[in-house]
Amino acid sequence: MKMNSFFSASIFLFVACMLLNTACAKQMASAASETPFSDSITSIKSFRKLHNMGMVELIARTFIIEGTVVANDEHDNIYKSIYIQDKTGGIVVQLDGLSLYQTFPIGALVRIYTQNLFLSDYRRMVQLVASVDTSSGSLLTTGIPAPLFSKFIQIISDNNAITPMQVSYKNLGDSLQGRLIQLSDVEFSAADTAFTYADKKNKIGASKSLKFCSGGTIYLRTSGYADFAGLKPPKGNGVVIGIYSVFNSEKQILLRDTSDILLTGKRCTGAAWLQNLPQTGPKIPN
Amino acid sequence: MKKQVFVLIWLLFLIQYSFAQEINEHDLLQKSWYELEPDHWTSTLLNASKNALYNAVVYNGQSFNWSFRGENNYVTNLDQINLESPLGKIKFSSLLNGIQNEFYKTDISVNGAFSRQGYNVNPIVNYISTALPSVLNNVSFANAFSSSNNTNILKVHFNSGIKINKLNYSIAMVMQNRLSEYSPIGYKQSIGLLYTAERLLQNNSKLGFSLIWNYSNQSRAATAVNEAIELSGTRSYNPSWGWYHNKIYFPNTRQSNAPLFLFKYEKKWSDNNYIIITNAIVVGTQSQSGLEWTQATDPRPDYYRYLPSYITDSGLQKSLKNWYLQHPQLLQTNFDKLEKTNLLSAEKRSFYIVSQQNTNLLLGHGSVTYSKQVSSYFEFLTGVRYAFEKLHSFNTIKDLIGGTYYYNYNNWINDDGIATSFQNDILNPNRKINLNEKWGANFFLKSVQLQPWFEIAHYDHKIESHFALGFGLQGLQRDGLNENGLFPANSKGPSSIIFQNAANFKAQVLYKFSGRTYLRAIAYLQNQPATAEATYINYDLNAFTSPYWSSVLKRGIDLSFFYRAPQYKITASIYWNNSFNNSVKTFFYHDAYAQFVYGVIGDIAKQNTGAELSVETSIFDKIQLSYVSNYQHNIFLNNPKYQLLQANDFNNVSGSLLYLSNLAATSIPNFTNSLNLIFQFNSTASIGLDFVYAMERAMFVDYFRRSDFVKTKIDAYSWNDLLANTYLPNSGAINAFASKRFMLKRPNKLYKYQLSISARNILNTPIPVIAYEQTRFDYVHFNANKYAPKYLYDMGANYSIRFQLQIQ
Repeated sequence: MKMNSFFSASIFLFVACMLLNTACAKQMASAASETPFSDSITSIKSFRKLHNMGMVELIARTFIIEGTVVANDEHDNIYKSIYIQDKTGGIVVQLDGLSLYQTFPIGALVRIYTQNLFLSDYRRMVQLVASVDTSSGSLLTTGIPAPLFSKFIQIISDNNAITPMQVSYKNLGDSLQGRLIQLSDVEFSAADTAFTYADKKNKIGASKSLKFCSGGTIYLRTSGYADFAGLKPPKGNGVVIGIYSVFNSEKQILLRDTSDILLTGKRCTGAAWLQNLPQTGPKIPN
Repeated sequence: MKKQVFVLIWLLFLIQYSFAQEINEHDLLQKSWYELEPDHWTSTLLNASKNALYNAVVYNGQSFNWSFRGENNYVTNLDQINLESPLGKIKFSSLLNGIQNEFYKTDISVNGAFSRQGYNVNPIVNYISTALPSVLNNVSFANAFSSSNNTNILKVHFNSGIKINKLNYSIAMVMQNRLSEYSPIGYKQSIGLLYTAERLLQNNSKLGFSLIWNYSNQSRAATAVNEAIELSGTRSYNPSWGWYHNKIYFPNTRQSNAPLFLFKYEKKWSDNNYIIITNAIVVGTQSQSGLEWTQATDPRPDYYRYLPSYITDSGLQKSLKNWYLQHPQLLQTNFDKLEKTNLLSAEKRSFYIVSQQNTNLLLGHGSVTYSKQVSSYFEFLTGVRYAFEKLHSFNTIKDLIGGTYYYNYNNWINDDGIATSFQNDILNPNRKINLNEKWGANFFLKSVQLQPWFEIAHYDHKIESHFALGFGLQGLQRDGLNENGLFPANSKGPSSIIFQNAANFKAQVLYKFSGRTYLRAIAYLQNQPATAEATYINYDLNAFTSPYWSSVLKRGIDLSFFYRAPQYKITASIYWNNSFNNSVKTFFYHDAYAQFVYGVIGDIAKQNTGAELSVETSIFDKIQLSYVSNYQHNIFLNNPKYQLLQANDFNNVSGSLLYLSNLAATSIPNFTNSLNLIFQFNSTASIGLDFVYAMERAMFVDYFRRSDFVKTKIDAYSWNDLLANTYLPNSGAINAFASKRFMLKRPNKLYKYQLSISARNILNTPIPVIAYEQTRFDYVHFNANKYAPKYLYDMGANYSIRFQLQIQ
């Protein structure tokens, strides 16, 4: 009898413990799968046409654009935004995050689901933003918050090749906004080569005149926070690659890094410039 | 015999299904918590210690941050050895973690009350002993499980009994296991071993040896702002874990593997004439790990910029809130994303790593206690406590999260554009650190302590009195192994030794009105040397001393009334404790100066006053009742000085006064009541109910926002708000338990079974275990909500079940 009691008690307790444990083993939420996306792609050129300069448009429909990241904040010349382009055009996308280059490296193909975002412009530079605020009398925009990147942006692939568009001065226009372009036969004005790209110490941005040998000037805009802001521009002549931008009527180019500047030839200002043009194009980093 | 084997196998099988009521540790506050005995969390007269209030605090205080007289509930004394360290980086509680409940608890000394353990300068001393727990030979097994965090615990205890001229010994082993999948606070594996051997010699002397060894590896929880907790939908939200390759990953962990060897010799001529010599050595490692990053996006899912409150646009804010509700996994760290960042970088440089801070311990603590009865009225005691400690602190890389190396750079500096500033080792600059290699700070901290003391005790039929004097000498030294870029001239090599003196005096008088009624008065005055933490600005970098380092002066009195009768035990106390020259040091990012600073506060005066009442009684011989009421008022007495020192050179950025006077110095509730009822059906069955209610509990305050800097920049209304305490909601909890014991007699053996079931916080009250204002503050726009307070909540209603078998 005592033997039976002993075993009965043992089995009862064993089963009780097992049941209790099973009942309490709450598995925590598992990682959810990616948000399902649809696949109707609008070209960036068409998408930009939704915008009227000086106005703000809420994207109410499900427009999807797809493009390759051509510039980001890796060298701090660009702040809280990335530039993407497809075959038809480019656009700047405001993102409220830092070190974006680690999430959206150059060459990453991204798809942006623009519904409920806004198209606006800053000094005529068209941009895609997450919110706008005019309560202060001026237009304040906010980028897509970091936790919502995965809602609006899907990374399709990495390391896609990018070829900058070769553009002459006379072809510079708003349709190139946000695109990676290559300017040839250009050099900084002699006066600008004496100073650094920007005031790194006081974190003040600056514009430098970049002159076409064939005539015409575009301004190379550099942020005071850029890691190369304290360097002096090269004095030579050659090729400059960057993002085409505008500041009202001023045509600008944004450097991604100083490796985008290949000004090693002799300056064209003076009699000998025609003999010193570069004979081959530069190697373009992806 | 077959049955015993069956029971053993069965219990070993159940190792996966047992429990430990464990308390989280929060690294920011660097608090450790008393590990609770799973089945004895409800205070009962059956296991009551000499102090019912202390029982109530230990068993019910955790959720409410209710601690005893503003002091920690740590074990501070093991066999006359002081377990406190001036180096601050050692957690003795971790050395005993999991096994400490197997010790024989000898006493709890309050406000320095004299005990048979010898004179001790600390206000609250929690004594434990390696003494053998039973004179009888027995073996016991226990197995438990709880719903709160799904931890399993298995205990085995064997006691040889006590016989003269024999080697008597006791072995206890406690194994804990918790799988991360089943608990928001993560995993835990722990094995604790206590081996004690004693040999009683014929000349009334005793030789003893003990080995205390806890090996543990566990994850750590983190606090979060209420907004994130609400978005997660669970009060158990823990932002410190994440998803990695579809599995749960805990970067924040803690490990301890440091055995303690204790040698004891005791010679007794009589009860009051004896000498006890105890020495202990600890050799091992304690470590903790956490996520580190450099030049990369903040990976913390609850970072303030990622929460809806950071967004001003209401539509976008709502969108983000809904996104979180639909995708709760976004509230955990995405390690796959961090891995991708590391993999895509040039040469697979890791921008995110899991770093491990290691401390190799070599500790020696000892004491000699001698007692001599001079006459039938007088007793003379003297002794000395001594300690040497040597810690080697260094970091290693525990996980490169997909990358191949990490640069040996100091991320906690202000970028001054100088390439050498961020080098952790300028003699070996730009070094690429591989997995498990050392990086970062690398240094020794050493200390020596010597504390002789004398005590005279007088006993007669009306008055018992004690007077004691203690002295102390303490030496501190740092020895750097790296020449870092910030302080190349004085970061490497041994620093000069800082010697500090200590002196203390204590007196106690007990007046006996009758055999049942007593009145006791205690007064003390102490001068305690500064710890290494208070002495140095940052011993990771160099041995520069803090501008406010100083020994701490403490003084206080305690008046207690005791009534002891067969049906009643009543204790009432009032106390008053002051301490001066306290200092605080914090490292944080200052928004107005846009740089990292050390905030150093000195000359802090604090007051801890209060009144306590405990009543223990029996009703109808069946119901045992214990009521405890505790009022305590812990405040700052003054407006102390402070300085903000630049992270790069320790130069003073600013400093003046902090307006802390009358603010709460702790987050302990001012008023706490506990009522414990136990209905004893018979000698084997009982049920119990426990009610706890805490009121006026202030949040931990951030000191530096109460400064002149802020005062001159905000309106009077906002300033007055800052000068007032923020109180957490008054809250209570109901706990219950049931216990049943039964015995089976076998030839030559007695089997004792005990089954107990308990439930905590039955009403599921939301109770913040920790609540504090963040050190980071909006010093630009003074938006008090920008860096909201952080919380860690009690898990709410949960139950546990425990089974124990003892064979005699």
